[in-house]
Amino acid sequence: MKKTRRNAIIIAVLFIILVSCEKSLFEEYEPELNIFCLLECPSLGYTTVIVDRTYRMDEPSDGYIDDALVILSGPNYVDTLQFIPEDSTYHHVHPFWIRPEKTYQLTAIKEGFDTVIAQTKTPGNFNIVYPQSLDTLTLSDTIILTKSSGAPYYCGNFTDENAYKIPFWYVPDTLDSLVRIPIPFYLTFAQSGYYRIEILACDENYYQYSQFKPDQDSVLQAGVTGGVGVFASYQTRYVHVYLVLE
Amino acid sequence: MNIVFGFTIPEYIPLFKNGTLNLRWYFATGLPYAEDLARYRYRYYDSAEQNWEYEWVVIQGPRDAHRLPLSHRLDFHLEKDMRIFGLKGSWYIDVMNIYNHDNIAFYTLDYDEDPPKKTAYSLLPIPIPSFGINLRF
Repeated sequence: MKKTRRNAIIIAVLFIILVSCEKSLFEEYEPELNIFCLLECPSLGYTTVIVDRTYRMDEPSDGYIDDALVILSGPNYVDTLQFIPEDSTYHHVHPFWIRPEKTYQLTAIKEGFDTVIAQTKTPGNFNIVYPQSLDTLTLSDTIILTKSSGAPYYCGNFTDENAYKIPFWYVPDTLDSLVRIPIPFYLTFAQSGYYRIEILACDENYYQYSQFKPDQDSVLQAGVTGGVGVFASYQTRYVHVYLVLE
Repeated sequence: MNIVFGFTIPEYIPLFKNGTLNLRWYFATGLPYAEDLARYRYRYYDSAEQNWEYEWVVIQGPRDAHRLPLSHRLDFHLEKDMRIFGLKGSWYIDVMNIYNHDNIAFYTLDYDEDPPKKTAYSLLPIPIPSFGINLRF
């Protein structure tokens, strides 16, 4: 009798352990909004915002969201963006200047999803010190810029006469007062000729976006809360040069 | 958690005279794993194509927050004594997972499908029999 009771207790304990081991710790995933907006400054409101969503693994994907309420606000200005079906993005209704070193906020609201609030601080002005327009550059040269405040990251393109873009990116030393970008070594494989150099000074969110590795990282939240995606800003400068790549 | 029950049919039952029949039942809770919860489009500039493109990024759940289903199987082992060329020995038959329970070992997702197709794989897809002879000399 005593043995039977002991066995019953052992089985009961094992059953409780079994049930507790079987419990899943995670609640079901709720889809979120996914926004994409790269704000160029200074510019007169040529801003496009893509509002998308995340999908559960068992859900088929669909097009971008066309009925969200998307609000872009900055110093002394608020604009509700309008969906343009031709390119499936939201555009300005009342354009306004995107200015350097100002904070802008993007809000996306859609029924059934958490509201996304995103924020970016536009980078400060900067200039290209070297090269000047139509200078001749070689692979051993360095592009020199004045520093853009609030820009931890610089990227851009060398665009040849056939409009083919060769990208580059650079993270400067924070202590330097000038930014010195070496001509990328992989330009060795390009042809000598005239190139347009486009240089972007990017904000912290853009830097996070550029560092994201889709095959390794999971959630991109560059300046975004309440969802996923990127809301970043940048300033652009151009210079035309002749590149000798031999 | 793993529980194993073993049972040996006593030798005095006529059919199992000079032999044994073992039945062993394994019962285990599923192993923990990180499940792919969701996916979203990640937009990027493709310098080769000179165009904005997107690729799907997977949102993975917390590590070990999900569990595979319960797994269990019954293994059967019949062994009978015999003599071959004057040597003592026995022959046996083993069958693993005799009732062919689908014990899931892992999942894969095919991202070329929309929605991604989830496929479960088990380590023992069919009951696995084995036969053998033991000789003692």
